[in-house]
Amino acid sequence: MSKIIQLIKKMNVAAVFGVLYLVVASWFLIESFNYPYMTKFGVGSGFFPRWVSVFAIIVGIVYLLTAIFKDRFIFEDIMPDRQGLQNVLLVIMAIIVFIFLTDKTGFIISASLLLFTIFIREYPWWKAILLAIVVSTICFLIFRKGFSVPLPVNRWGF
Amino acid sequence: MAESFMGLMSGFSVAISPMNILYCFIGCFVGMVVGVLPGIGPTEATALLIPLTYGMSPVSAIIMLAGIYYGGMYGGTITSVLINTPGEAASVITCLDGYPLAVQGRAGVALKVAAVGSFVGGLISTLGLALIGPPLAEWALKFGPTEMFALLVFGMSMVIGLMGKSLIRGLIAVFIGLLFALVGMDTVSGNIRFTLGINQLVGGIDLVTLSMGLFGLSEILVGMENLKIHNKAGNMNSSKLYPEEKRPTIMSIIRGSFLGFFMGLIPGTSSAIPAMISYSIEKRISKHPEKFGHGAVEGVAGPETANNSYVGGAMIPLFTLGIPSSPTIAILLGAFMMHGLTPGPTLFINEPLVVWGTIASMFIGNLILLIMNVPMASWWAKLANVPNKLLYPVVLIIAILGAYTVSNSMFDVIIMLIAGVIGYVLKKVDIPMAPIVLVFVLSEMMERSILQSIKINKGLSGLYTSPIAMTLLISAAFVLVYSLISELKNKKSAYLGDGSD
Repeated sequence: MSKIIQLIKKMNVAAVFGVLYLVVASWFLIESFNYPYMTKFGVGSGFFPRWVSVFAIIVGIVYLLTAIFKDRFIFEDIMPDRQGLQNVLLVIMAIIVFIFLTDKTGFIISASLLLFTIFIREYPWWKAILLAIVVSTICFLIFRKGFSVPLPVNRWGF
Repeated sequence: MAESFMGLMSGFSVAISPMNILYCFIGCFVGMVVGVLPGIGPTEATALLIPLTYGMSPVSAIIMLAGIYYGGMYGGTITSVLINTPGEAASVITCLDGYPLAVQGRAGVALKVAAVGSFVGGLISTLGLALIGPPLAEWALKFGPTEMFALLVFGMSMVIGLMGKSLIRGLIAVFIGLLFALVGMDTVSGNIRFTLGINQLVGGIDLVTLSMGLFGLSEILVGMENLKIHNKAGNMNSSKLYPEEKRPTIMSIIRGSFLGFFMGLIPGTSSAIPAMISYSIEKRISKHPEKFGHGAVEGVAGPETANNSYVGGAMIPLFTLGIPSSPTIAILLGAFMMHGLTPGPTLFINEPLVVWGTIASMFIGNLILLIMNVPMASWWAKLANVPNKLLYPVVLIIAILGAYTVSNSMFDVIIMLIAGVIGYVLKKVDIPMAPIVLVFVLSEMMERSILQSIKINKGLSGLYTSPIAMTLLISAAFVLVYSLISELKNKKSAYLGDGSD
């Protein structure tokens, strides 16, 4: 396991990004063939995407070459420390949970949960709960009551 | 001239209505807050607040959002001077002399000079906007699709050439923006493209959602890496200029005003660039260049004036050509469209009250900011003490709410999350973010103009038979070649950053 982590740490991140970018640009090029290049009225909806994706691929190849031979930088240099990485992943996971939960629990509960998972890492538990509820409630009141945004609510109206 | 004067007067009649003054104040206040808070800039704040302007009249919405833009420029100075942390990119250079002045107990001088300089710069550039805007818009009406396409290519070349430290990374950003923009219905033929069968993508990716992800959420993710950072503001003692400092300071404010205004006219620049150039000019012509970096007042006055003056200049390409020159302006353009307005040469004719009302409100806004800044600087500085561990989660929930309000659906939150993760990765691999948003905005216009040009000219011949188009395309090629040569000679400055406002 630690060998795999070491291997990832030494990986050329710019090159990895270059490959991913090329995959996406190539998908756009392949997909662009589904749209007409020319129609009887003139150039079709495939014209612009095809040229954009062709140039995108050319730029991607140049980038990949520079990433391999010139501007090399490895994962280890850009990754945050263990705690930082955990914080970043936590935020992403918390947003995903929030997205799936909100329609069922209503905004205040899901937002409080989202904020609590972040606050608990830096504040004592009682402060984290208090902050999470206060911030979500204030936001709910401002947006729902103040700006009439139809935020999802539960059966109790919050 | 008389026409501009009349327009400005009618604009004032709109801008001085109590509601519009209130919105202008709110915009300036929010701009100051986000300018002071390190990590959040006017770009993120404008994107976050656009959905909240749905219920407002177009002119009130634009007045408020523009206030955030130039208010952010004022706010960024305070943290640069007092805690050596720039609130936004344009104030990076202010740290060099602003903070040493604060260490010497002269933070009051630095903040006062910056506020007055920003006010003068803001006024001069707004006046320039009022005078140059209408004739430029009239000239732009002569542009056909071929010229417009060439202008957009030129604008993009400036974006690639001036933003970021590497030409190839700038190009990568441009093509990411173009690829994002391809998703959704093609406005020319009505075909639906690249949606992966997802119905919500038929209308394309929303600019506000994309910006909030790329700028806002990615910044939060970077900030989450280290929540322990806690800034402490210094104290302010003396706020008086020495007699020998007065003349150089006034002159640097005048130079900064004109420099910032003209830099704003160039698409692809950012407010950090005139600030940086102003600093280098002031240092070069100063009788005491050795003072720079150790508390030279001109080192604060010139750049701060230039970055505020830039805002008025940057509004000109937006109002007259419909071309954004910076990410915040690109988001403002999105706000125009959301309110049923089409920025471009016809805006002065079709919506004079919106244009002149916004211009007039900028005079009022600059006055509000001067009042907010000079006596209240120490109060603003306290805001910078908000710890990141509290700030970032709160901004996160506001960003989520902002994305949700775009179409009142969780789908936009999902798009923001994806854009945020992409933005985080792009930051890590040093790809500039600003060109993505700028190109994303311009892409639709670019596709339409090239298709129309091909149809009219039965091919691409228009690009080399139109003198305007040819000149613009040659200029674009020159910018790219020059940028490449500069890069090879390592002349590109690290201050260019990613070109965000």
